[in-house]
Amino acid sequence: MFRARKPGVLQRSVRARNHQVEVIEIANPESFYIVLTCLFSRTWLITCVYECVNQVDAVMNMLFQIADRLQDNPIIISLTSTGWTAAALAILHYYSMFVLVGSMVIVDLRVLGVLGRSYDTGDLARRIFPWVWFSLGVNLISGFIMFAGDATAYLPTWSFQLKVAVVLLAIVFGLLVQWRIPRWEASPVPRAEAKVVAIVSLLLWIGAILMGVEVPAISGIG
Amino acid sequence: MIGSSLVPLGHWLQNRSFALTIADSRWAYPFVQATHFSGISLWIGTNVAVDLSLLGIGNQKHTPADLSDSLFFWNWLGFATAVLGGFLLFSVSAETFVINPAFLVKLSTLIPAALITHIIIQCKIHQWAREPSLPQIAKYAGSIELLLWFCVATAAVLIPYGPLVY
Repeated sequence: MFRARKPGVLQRSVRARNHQVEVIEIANPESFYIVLTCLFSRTWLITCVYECVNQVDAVMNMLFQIADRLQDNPIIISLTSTGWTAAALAILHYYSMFVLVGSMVIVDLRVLGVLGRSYDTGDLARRIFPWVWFSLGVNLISGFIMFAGDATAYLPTWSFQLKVAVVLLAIVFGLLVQWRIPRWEASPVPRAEAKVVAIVSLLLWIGAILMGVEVPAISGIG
Repeated sequence: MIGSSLVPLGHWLQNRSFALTIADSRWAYPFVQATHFSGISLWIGTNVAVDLSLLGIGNQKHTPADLSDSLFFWNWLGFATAVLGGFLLFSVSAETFVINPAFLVKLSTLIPAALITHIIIQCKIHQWAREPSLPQIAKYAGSIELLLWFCVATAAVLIPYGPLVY
């Protein structure tokens, strides 16, 4: 006996005892919601959070061991203790940050419609985002080397952890802007989502700059 | 050294009430830094825009003279903000700044040179625009100003490394 295919339902055909082919449902939207409710039950969530907190400790220990080895690496030591290489790293880090944030701000302000209305957003984004990602690469590499020179001191500092978190979030929003721009362009009406994402991206990069300067000011490292 | 004779002055400035307030407050220092950076963004950004336009880089939608005129307000607003924020930042730890070679070079040599070049360009740009094609001197002036602001930024970046020279 055949049953017609139902949309949104997982079906499987089985051979019944009377050698007839039958189609049975093995999952439908109702069962899916039941499973979801079970998964997000309170007890399961609490166990999850508890495990996460325990794991964070273990992860931090592992990171500290890595930081120790990083700090003692001869290449890192020579790069961060030699006067001119340390200065060059700082210059690279700052200038790549200028290009990075400057380019992101251009795109964000265009998405917000504040500046550059005569430029096509998609076109502008296509021209500018390579600068964003290239300078981000230089910034991350120079930043990592500078961090590695004093890794065990930076790692437990809350201002540094906050800076890394803000930079990661800013990167995520930068990617969001890049991926969503075609859809925002195609839409006939100005989208609120576009403005929100652009403003958040802008604020996050400004926050990243401020956090970057605050780390030495607050912690005294670097 | 010139710097070491300014240490008593730096010490006096550091202990003014406004400087002490900023140094003690948790949020005031980042706020002052943000002011200095915003001012710099406006000031350097508009300067670089006009210089690149003088050099012929960019889409040349506007002539350098037009660009300089339309950006004039933001340019000097940025300068005022940057100077205000910079002075406040300096006054918080003035003693350490006056003996910092990177800071001394930045403030005594590079900034005056760049500022003078910038003012010359702003005054002369209309004269240059009146000529049939932009004179060579305009291009040289633009590139010199770019180079000088680049040096100012580099000196500022190297300020934390100043004490290591000793």
